[in-house]
Amino acid sequence: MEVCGLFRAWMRTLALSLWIVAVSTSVAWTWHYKTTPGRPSAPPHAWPTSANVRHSGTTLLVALHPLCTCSEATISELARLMASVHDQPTPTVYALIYDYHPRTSIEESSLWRRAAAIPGVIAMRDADGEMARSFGAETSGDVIAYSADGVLLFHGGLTAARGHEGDSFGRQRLLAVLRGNTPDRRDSPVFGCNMNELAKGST
Amino acid sequence: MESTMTANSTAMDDEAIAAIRIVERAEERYRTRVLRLAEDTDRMFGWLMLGQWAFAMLIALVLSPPAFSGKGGNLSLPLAFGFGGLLASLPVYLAFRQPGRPLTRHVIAAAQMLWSALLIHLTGGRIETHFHVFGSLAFLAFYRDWRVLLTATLVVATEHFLRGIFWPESVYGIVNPEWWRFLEHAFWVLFCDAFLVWSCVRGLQSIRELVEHGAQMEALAQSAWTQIAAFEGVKPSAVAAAARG
Repeated sequence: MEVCGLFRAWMRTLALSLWIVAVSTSVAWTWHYKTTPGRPSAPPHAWPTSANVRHSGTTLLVALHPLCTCSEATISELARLMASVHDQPTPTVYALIYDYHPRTSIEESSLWRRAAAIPGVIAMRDADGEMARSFGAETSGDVIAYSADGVLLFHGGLTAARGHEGDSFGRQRLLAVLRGNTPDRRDSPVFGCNMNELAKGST
Repeated sequence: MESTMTANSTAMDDEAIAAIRIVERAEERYRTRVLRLAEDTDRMFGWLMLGQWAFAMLIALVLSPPAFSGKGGNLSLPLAFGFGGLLASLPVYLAFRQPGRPLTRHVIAAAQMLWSALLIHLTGGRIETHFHVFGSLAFLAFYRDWRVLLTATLVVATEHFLRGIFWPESVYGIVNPEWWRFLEHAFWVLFCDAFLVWSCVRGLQSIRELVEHGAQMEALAQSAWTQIAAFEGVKPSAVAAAARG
Protein backbone atom coordinates (compact mmCIF):
# COMPACT_ATOMS: atom_id res chain seq x y z
CA MET A 1 0.00 0.00 0.00
CA GLU A 2 2.79 2.37 1.04
CA VAL A 3 4.85 1.42 -2.02
CA CYS A 4 1.85 2.17 -4.22
CA GLY A 5 1.49 5.61 -2.62
CA LEU A 6 5.18 6.34 -3.09
CA PHE A 7 5.00 5.24 -6.73
CA ARG A 8 2.05 7.57 -7.34
CA ALA A 9 3.84 10.48 -5.69
CA TRP A 10 6.92 9.76 -7.79
CA MET A 11 4.85 9.61 -10.99
CA ARG A 12 3.14 12.87 -10.07
CA THR A 13 6.47 14.59 -9.52
CA LEU A 14 7.80 13.19 -12.80
CA ALA A 15 4.72 14.35 -14.75
CA LEU A 16 4.92 17.81 -13.20
CA SER A 17 8.65 18.10 -13.92
CA LEU A 18 8.19 16.98 -17.54
CA TRP A 19 5.35 19.47 -18.01
CA ILE A 20 7.43 22.34 -16.57
CA VAL A 21 10.41 21.44 -18.81
CA ALA A 22 8.21 21.11 -21.93
CA VAL A 23 6.36 24.38 -21.27
CA SER A 24 9.59 26.29 -20.50
CA THR A 25 11.21 24.94 -23.67
CA SER A 26 8.18 25.97 -25.75
CA VAL A 27 8.20 29.48 -24.28
CA ALA A 28 11.94 29.82 -24.90
CA TRP A 29 11.65 28.48 -28.48
CA THR A 30 8.78 30.86 -29.25
CA TRP A 31 10.71 33.86 -28.02
CA HIS A 32 13.88 32.79 -29.77
CA TYR A 33 11.93 32.43 -33.02
CA LYS A 34 10.11 35.72 -32.62
CA THR A 35 13.25 37.70 -31.87
CA THR A 36 15.47 36.29 -34.59
CA PRO A 37 15.74 39.09 -37.15
CA GLY A 38 15.58 38.66 -40.89
CA ARG A 39 18.42 39.42 -43.27
CA PRO A 40 19.32 43.12 -42.97
CA SER A 41 18.70 45.27 -46.02
CA ALA A 42 21.53 46.84 -48.01
CA PRO A 43 19.95 49.93 -49.55
CA PRO A 44 21.92 52.31 -51.79
CA HIS A 45 23.32 55.31 -49.92
CA ALA A 46 21.72 57.65 -52.43
CA TRP A 47 18.29 57.45 -54.06
CA PRO A 48 18.76 55.27 -57.16
CA THR A 49 17.95 57.14 -60.36
CA SER A 50 16.64 53.91 -61.88
CA ALA A 51 13.96 53.52 -59.18
CA ASN A 52 10.37 53.18 -60.36
CA VAL A 53 9.18 55.24 -57.40
CA ARG A 54 8.98 59.02 -57.47
CA HIS A 55 11.23 60.69 -54.92
CA SER A 56 9.46 63.64 -53.33
CA GLY A 57 10.78 65.31 -50.21
CA THR A 58 11.63 63.00 -47.33
CA THR A 59 10.58 59.63 -48.73
CA LEU A 60 9.92 56.39 -46.90
CA LEU A 61 9.61 52.97 -48.52
CA VAL A 62 8.01 50.14 -46.56
CA ALA A 63 8.43 46.65 -48.05
CA LEU A 64 5.52 44.37 -47.11
CA HIS A 65 4.40 40.88 -48.05
CA PRO A 66 0.66 40.07 -47.64
CA LEU A 67 1.38 36.47 -46.63
CA CYS A 68 3.42 37.54 -43.62
CA THR A 69 1.47 38.84 -40.64
CA CYS A 70 4.61 40.38 -39.29
CA SER A 71 3.56 42.93 -41.95
CA GLU A 72 0.34 43.61 -40.03
CA ALA A 73 2.31 44.63 -36.94
CA THR A 74 4.52 46.86 -39.12
CA ILE A 75 1.41 48.56 -40.53
CA SER A 76 0.15 49.19 -36.98
CA GLU A 77 3.51 50.71 -36.03
CA LEU A 78 3.60 52.74 -39.24
CA ALA A 79 0.16 54.16 -38.36
CA ARG A 80 1.48 55.14 -34.91
CA LEU A 81 4.58 56.67 -36.48
CA MET A 82 2.51 58.75 -38.91
CA ALA A 83 0.28 59.93 -36.07
CA SER A 84 3.41 60.99 -34.14
CA VAL A 85 4.73 63.16 -36.99
CA HIS A 86 1.47 64.84 -37.96
CA ASP A 87 2.89 68.18 -36.73
CA GLN A 88 6.06 67.78 -38.85
CA PRO A 89 6.49 68.23 -42.62
CA THR A 90 4.71 65.10 -43.90
CA PRO A 91 7.08 62.60 -45.52
CA THR A 92 6.06 60.75 -48.67
CA VAL A 93 5.43 57.15 -47.65
CA TYR A 94 5.13 54.29 -50.12
CA ALA A 95 3.91 50.92 -48.86
CA LEU A 96 5.31 48.51 -51.42
CA ILE A 97 2.92 45.56 -51.29
CA TYR A 98 4.54 42.45 -52.74
CA ASP A 99 2.34 41.14 -55.55
CA TYR A 100 2.78 37.37 -55.63
CA HIS A 101 -0.07 37.10 -58.15
CA PRO A 102 -2.78 35.58 -55.95
CA ARG A 103 -6.17 34.58 -57.41
CA THR A 104 -7.78 37.77 -56.12
CA SER A 105 -6.19 41.13 -56.78
CA ILE A 106 -3.57 42.25 -54.25
CA GLU A 107 -5.54 45.51 -53.89
CA GLU A 108 -8.24 43.47 -52.13
CA SER A 109 -5.93 42.15 -49.42
CA SER A 110 -6.44 43.41 -45.88
CA LEU A 111 -2.82 44.56 -45.84
CA TRP A 112 -3.42 46.85 -48.82
CA ARG A 113 -6.59 48.27 -47.30
CA ARG A 114 -4.91 48.90 -43.95
CA ALA A 115 -1.87 50.54 -45.55
CA ALA A 116 -3.98 52.73 -47.84
CA ALA A 117 -6.15 53.81 -44.90
CA ILE A 118 -3.21 55.45 -43.08
CA PRO A 119 -3.20 59.21 -43.83
CA GLY A 120 -0.16 60.09 -45.93
CA VAL A 121 0.62 56.51 -47.00
CA ILE A 122 0.43 55.48 -50.65
CA ALA A 123 -0.05 51.76 -51.23
CA MET A 124 1.80 50.52 -54.32
CA ARG A 125 1.69 47.20 -56.12
CA ASP A 126 5.19 45.72 -56.22
CA ALA A 127 5.16 42.94 -58.83
CA ASP A 128 7.32 40.04 -57.55
CA GLY A 129 9.02 42.44 -55.16
CA GLU A 130 11.07 44.13 -57.91
CA MET A 131 10.93 47.59 -56.36
CA ALA A 132 11.77 46.36 -52.86
CA ARG A 133 14.68 44.40 -54.31
CA SER A 134 16.01 47.48 -56.10
CA PHE A 135 16.27 49.12 -52.67
CA GLY A 136 17.98 46.06 -51.18
CA ALA A 137 14.98 45.02 -49.04
CA GLU A 138 14.47 41.27 -48.57
CA THR A 139 12.50 41.08 -45.35
CA SER A 140 8.86 42.05 -44.98
CA GLY A 141 8.60 45.05 -42.67
CA ASP A 142 11.81 46.71 -43.86
CA VAL A 143 11.59 50.51 -43.87
CA ILE A 144 14.02 52.63 -45.89
CA ALA A 145 14.06 56.41 -45.49
CA TYR A 146 15.71 58.98 -47.77
CA SER A 147 16.10 62.69 -47.16
CA ALA A 148 14.69 65.35 -49.50
CA ASP A 149 18.08 65.49 -51.25
CA GLY A 150 18.17 61.71 -51.72
CA VAL A 151 20.55 60.68 -48.92
CA LEU A 152 19.86 57.48 -47.00
CA LEU A 153 18.62 58.39 -43.52
CA PHE A 154 17.51 55.12 -42.00
CA HIS A 155 16.83 51.47 -42.77
CA GLY A 156 15.37 48.74 -40.59
CA GLY A 157 12.22 47.43 -38.95
CA LEU A 158 9.62 49.13 -36.80
CA THR A 159 8.67 46.21 -34.57
CA ALA A 160 10.39 44.73 -31.52
CA ALA A 161 9.81 41.09 -32.53
CA ARG A 162 8.17 39.08 -35.30
CA GLY A 163 4.56 40.16 -35.63
CA HIS A 164 4.72 42.00 -32.32
CA GLU A 165 3.29 45.47 -31.83
CA GLY A 166 4.67 47.82 -29.21
CA ASP A 167 7.58 50.17 -28.62
CA SER A 168 10.73 49.45 -30.57
CA PHE A 169 13.96 51.28 -30.96
CA GLY A 170 13.53 51.07 -34.75
CA ARG A 171 10.43 53.25 -34.51
CA GLN A 172 12.15 55.56 -32.00
CA ARG A 173 15.14 56.04 -34.31
CA LEU A 174 13.02 56.67 -37.40
CA LEU A 175 10.90 59.11 -35.42
CA ALA A 176 14.06 60.96 -34.36
CA VAL A 177 15.17 61.12 -38.01
CA LEU A 178 11.80 62.48 -39.18
CA ARG A 179 11.83 65.11 -36.43
CA GLY A 180 15.25 66.27 -37.58
CA ASN A 181 17.09 64.87 -34.56
CA THR A 182 20.14 62.65 -34.61
CA PRO A 183 19.42 59.06 -33.50
CA ASP A 184 22.02 56.86 -31.79
CA ARG A 185 21.97 54.59 -34.85
CA ARG A 186 20.44 54.79 -38.31
CA ASP A 187 19.41 51.16 -38.60
CA SER A 188 17.51 48.49 -36.71
CA PRO A 189 16.90 44.76 -37.09
CA VAL A 190 13.91 43.73 -39.21
CA PHE A 191 11.67 41.12 -37.64
CA GLY A 192 9.73 39.61 -40.51
CA CYS A 193 9.52 36.93 -43.15
CA ASN A 194 11.96 36.62 -46.01
CA MET A 195 9.91 37.77 -49.02
CA ASN A 196 11.83 35.71 -51.57
CA GLU A 197 11.35 32.51 -49.58
CA LEU A 198 7.66 33.35 -49.14
CA ALA A 199 7.39 33.81 -52.88
CA LYS A 200 8.92 30.36 -53.45
CA GLY A 201 6.45 28.86 -50.98
CA SER A 202 3.45 30.54 -52.55
CA THR A 203 4.13 29.46 -56.10
CA MET B 1 -24.04 22.32 49.29
CA GLU B 2 -21.83 19.66 47.70
CA SER B 3 -24.65 18.49 45.45
CA THR B 4 -25.24 22.10 44.26
CA MET B 5 -21.52 22.44 43.41
CA THR B 6 -21.59 19.13 41.54
CA ALA B 7 -24.67 20.24 39.58
CA ASN B 8 -22.99 23.58 38.69
CA SER B 9 -19.84 21.75 37.66
CA THR B 10 -21.83 19.37 35.42
CA ALA B 11 -23.65 22.30 33.84
CA MET B 12 -20.31 24.04 33.12
CA ASP B 13 -18.91 20.85 31.60
CA ASP B 14 -21.98 20.57 29.38
CA GLU B 15 -21.55 24.17 28.25
CA ALA B 16 -17.85 23.58 27.50
CA ILE B 17 -18.63 20.42 25.54
CA ALA B 18 -21.38 22.25 23.66
CA ALA B 19 -18.94 25.08 22.83
CA ILE B 20 -16.32 22.61 21.61
CA ARG B 21 -18.92 20.91 19.44
CA ILE B 22 -19.93 24.25 17.95
CA VAL B 23 -16.30 25.01 17.12
CA GLU B 24 -15.72 21.55 15.66
CA ARG B 25 -18.88 21.67 13.56
CA ALA B 26 -18.01 25.15 12.31
CA GLU B 27 -14.47 24.09 11.44
CA GLU B 28 -15.67 21.00 9.58
CA ARG B 29 -18.18 23.01 7.57
CA TYR B 30 -15.60 25.70 6.85
CA ARG B 31 -13.20 23.10 5.44
CA THR B 32 -15.97 21.48 3.40
CA ARG B 33 -17.09 24.80 1.92
CA VAL B 34 -13.56 25.92 1.09
CA LEU B 35 -12.80 22.54 -0.49
CA ARG B 36 -16.02 22.66 -2.56
CA LEU B 37 -15.14 26.19 -3.64
CA ALA B 38 -11.68 25.02 -4.76
CA GLU B 39 -13.13 21.99 -6.59
CA ASP B 40 -15.73 24.11 -8.42
CA THR B 41 -13.10 26.71 -9.35
CA ASP B 42 -10.72 23.97 -10.56
CA ARG B 43 -13.44 22.58 -12.85
CA MET B 44 -14.24 26.08 -14.10
CA PHE B 45 -10.59 26.55 -15.01
CA GLY B 46 -10.54 23.10 -16.62
CA TRP B 47 -13.25 24.24 -19.03
CA LEU B 48 -11.59 27.64 -19.41
CA MET B 49 -8.31 25.96 -20.44
CA LEU B 50 -10.14 23.98 -23.12
CA GLY B 51 -11.97 27.13 -24.23
CA GLN B 52 -8.72 29.08 -24.46
CA TRP B 53 -7.15 26.29 -26.49
CA ALA B 54 -10.03 26.41 -28.99
CA PHE B 55 -9.88 30.21 -29.01
CA ALA B 56 -6.12 30.18 -29.67
CA MET B 57 -6.62 27.91 -32.68
CA LEU B 58 -9.44 30.13 -33.90
CA ILE B 59 -7.17 33.18 -33.66
CA ALA B 60 -4.44 31.30 -35.53
CA LEU B 61 -6.89 30.37 -38.27
CA VAL B 62 -8.83 33.61 -38.60
CA LEU B 63 -6.90 36.55 -37.22
CA SER B 64 -3.28 35.72 -37.85
CA PRO B 65 -2.92 33.57 -40.93
CA PRO B 66 -0.12 33.06 -41.68
CA ALA B 67 1.62 34.72 -38.75
CA PHE B 68 5.12 33.55 -37.89
CA SER B 69 5.53 32.56 -41.52
CA GLY B 70 9.20 32.03 -41.86
CA LYS B 71 9.43 30.05 -45.05
CA GLY B 72 5.96 30.19 -46.46
CA GLY B 73 4.44 28.02 -43.77
CA ASN B 74 1.98 29.03 -41.08
CA LEU B 75 3.49 28.46 -37.66
CA SER B 76 0.61 30.09 -35.79
CA LEU B 77 -1.63 27.06 -35.96
CA PRO B 78 1.02 24.51 -34.86
CA LEU B 79 1.96 26.90 -32.05
CA ALA B 80 -1.67 27.29 -30.94
CA PHE B 81 -2.34 23.56 -31.25
CA GLY B 82 0.96 22.23 -29.88
CA PHE B 83 1.96 24.76 -27.28
CA GLY B 84 -1.67 25.50 -26.38
CA GLY B 85 -2.42 21.80 -25.98
CA LEU B 86 0.67 21.29 -23.86
CA LEU B 87 -0.23 24.27 -21.71
CA ALA B 88 -3.78 23.01 -21.16
CA SER B 89 -2.91 19.30 -20.72
CA LEU B 90 -1.77 19.04 -17.10
CA PRO B 91 -4.16 21.69 -15.68
CA VAL B 92 -7.15 20.02 -17.40
CA TYR B 93 -6.12 16.58 -16.13
CA LEU B 94 -5.65 17.85 -12.58
CA ALA B 95 -8.83 19.97 -12.67
CA PHE B 96 -11.05 17.01 -13.53
CA ARG B 97 -9.13 14.16 -11.85
CA GLN B 98 -7.77 15.84 -8.73
CA PRO B 99 -9.91 18.91 -8.05
CA GLY B 100 -9.47 20.72 -4.75
CA ARG B 101 -5.82 19.82 -4.22
CA PRO B 102 -3.39 22.72 -3.66
CA LEU B 103 -1.09 21.48 -6.47
CA THR B 104 -3.98 21.65 -8.96
CA ARG B 105 -4.69 25.32 -8.38
CA HIS B 106 -1.01 26.31 -8.43
CA VAL B 107 -0.47 24.49 -11.76
CA ILE B 108 -3.61 26.20 -13.09
CA ALA B 109 -2.34 29.61 -11.93
CA ALA B 110 1.01 29.12 -13.69
CA ALA B 111 -0.64 27.85 -16.88
CA GLN B 112 -3.20 30.65 -16.91
CA MET B 113 -0.50 33.33 -16.89
CA LEU B 114 1.36 31.55 -19.69
CA TRP B 115 -1.92 31.47 -21.64
CA SER B 116 -1.83 35.26 -21.51
CA ALA B 117 1.66 35.18 -23.04
CA LEU B 118 0.59 32.77 -25.79
CA LEU B 119 -2.53 34.77 -26.68
CA ILE B 120 -0.45 37.96 -26.78
CA HIS B 121 1.92 36.28 -29.24
CA LEU B 122 -0.90 34.98 -31.40
CA THR B 123 -2.58 38.38 -31.62
CA GLY B 124 0.67 40.08 -32.59
CA GLY B 125 1.33 41.73 -29.24
CA ARG B 126 -1.89 43.72 -29.32
CA ILE B 127 -2.25 45.99 -26.30
CA GLU B 128 -5.85 44.79 -25.83
CA THR B 129 -4.74 41.18 -25.29
CA HIS B 130 -2.66 42.27 -22.30
CA PHE B 131 -5.97 42.70 -20.44
CA HIS B 132 -6.06 38.89 -20.32
CA VAL B 133 -3.35 39.01 -17.62
CA PHE B 134 -5.48 41.10 -15.28
CA GLY B 135 -8.69 39.23 -16.08
CA SER B 136 -6.90 35.97 -15.24
CA LEU B 137 -5.72 37.32 -11.90
CA ALA B 138 -9.32 38.23 -11.07
CA PHE B 139 -10.47 34.71 -12.05
CA LEU B 140 -7.74 33.17 -9.87
CA ALA B 141 -9.07 35.16 -6.92
CA PHE B 142 -12.18 32.95 -7.11
CA TYR B 143 -10.11 30.40 -5.15
CA ARG B 144 -9.98 32.79 -2.16
CA ASP B 145 -6.37 31.57 -1.77
CA TRP B 146 -3.84 34.39 -1.92
CA ARG B 147 -0.97 31.90 -2.45
CA VAL B 148 -2.39 31.12 -5.90
CA LEU B 149 -2.02 34.82 -6.80
CA LEU B 150 1.57 34.67 -5.57
CA THR B 151 2.33 31.76 -7.93
CA ALA B 152 0.72 33.63 -10.84
CA THR B 153 2.70 36.78 -10.08
CA LEU B 154 5.96 34.86 -9.80
CA VAL B 155 5.35 33.28 -13.21
CA VAL B 156 4.69 36.70 -14.82
CA ALA B 157 7.71 38.28 -13.12
CA THR B 158 10.00 35.36 -14.03
CA GLU B 159 8.88 35.36 -17.67
CA HIS B 160 9.47 39.11 -17.93
CA PHE B 161 12.78 38.89 -16.07
CA LEU B 162 14.14 36.12 -18.34
CA ARG B 163 12.86 37.81 -21.49
CA GLY B 164 14.43 41.06 -20.27
CA ILE B 165 17.77 39.27 -20.02
CA PHE B 166 17.68 37.19 -23.21
CA TRP B 167 15.32 39.12 -25.53
CA PRO B 168 15.11 42.62 -24.01
CA GLU B 169 13.69 44.37 -27.04
CA SER B 170 10.66 42.11 -27.24
CA VAL B 171 9.47 43.14 -23.82
CA TYR B 172 10.79 46.66 -23.29
CA GLY B 173 11.23 47.91 -26.84
CA ILE B 174 14.88 48.75 -26.20
CA VAL B 175 18.04 46.65 -26.26
CA ASN B 176 19.69 47.57 -22.98
CA PRO B 177 17.02 48.11 -20.36
CA GLU B 178 17.90 48.59 -16.72
CA TRP B 179 17.90 45.25 -14.87
CA TRP B 180 14.96 46.36 -12.69
CA ARG B 181 12.65 47.11 -15.62
CA PHE B 182 10.80 43.81 -15.07
CA LEU B 183 9.71 45.22 -11.70
CA GLU B 184 7.92 48.07 -13.47
CA HIS B 185 5.77 45.55 -15.33
CA ALA B 186 5.35 43.40 -12.22
CA PHE B 187 4.26 46.51 -10.28
CA TRP B 188 0.92 46.68 -12.09
CA VAL B 189 0.35 43.01 -11.41
CA LEU B 190 1.21 43.59 -7.73
CA PHE B 191 -1.10 46.62 -7.67
CA CYS B 192 -3.94 44.38 -8.83
CA ASP B 193 -2.82 41.61 -6.45
CA ALA B 194 -2.96 43.86 -3.42
CA PHE B 195 -6.73 44.30 -3.76
CA LEU B 196 -7.37 40.72 -4.82
CA VAL B 197 -5.41 39.32 -1.83
CA TRP B 198 -7.44 41.57 0.46
CA SER B 199 -10.68 40.31 -1.15
CA CYS B 200 -9.49 36.67 -0.76
CA VAL B 201 -8.80 37.14 2.95
CA ARG B 202 -12.13 38.93 3.41
CA GLY B 203 -13.92 36.19 1.46
CA LEU B 204 -12.52 33.47 3.72
CA GLN B 205 -13.43 35.50 6.82
CA SER B 206 -17.00 35.81 5.52
CA ILE B 207 -17.24 32.05 4.98
CA ARG B 208 -15.91 31.41 8.48
CA GLU B 209 -18.34 33.88 10.05
CA LEU B 210 -21.19 32.29 8.12
CA VAL B 211 -20.46 28.72 9.21
CA GLU B 212 -19.80 29.78 12.84
CA HIS B 213 -23.09 31.63 12.92
CA GLY B 214 -24.86 28.58 11.45
CA ALA B 215 -23.28 26.23 14.02
CA GLN B 216 -24.27 28.55 16.89
CA MET B 217 -27.83 28.73 15.65
CA GLU B 218 -28.03 24.95 15.44
CA ALA B 219 -26.61 24.54 18.96
CA LEU B 220 -29.16 27.05 20.29
CA ALA B 221 -32.00 25.20 18.58
CA GLN B 222 -30.76 21.87 19.92
CA SER B 223 -30.57 23.27 23.45
CA ALA B 224 -34.10 24.63 23.17
CA TRP B 225 -35.38 21.26 21.92
CA THR B 226 -33.68 19.49 24.86
CA GLN B 227 -35.33 21.84 27.35
CA ILE B 228 -38.76 21.47 25.72
CA ALA B 229 -38.34 17.68 25.62
CA ALA B 230 -37.45 17.62 29.32
CA PHE B 231 -40.51 19.77 30.06
CA GLU B 232 -42.85 17.69 27.90
CA GLY B 233 -41.28 14.36 28.89
CA VAL B 234 -40.53 13.25 25.33
CA LYS B 235 -37.33 12.59 23.37
CA PRO B 236 -35.51 15.69 22.00
CA SER B 237 -35.54 14.14 18.52
CA ALA B 238 -39.36 14.11 18.60
CA VAL B 239 -39.40 17.83 19.41
CA ALA B 240 -36.93 18.51 16.61
CA ALA B 241 -39.06 16.54 14.15
CA ALA B 242 -42.18 18.42 15.26
CA ALA B 243 -40.32 21.75 14.86
CA ARG B 244 -39.36 20.81 11.30
CA GLY B 245 -43.03 20.12 10.58
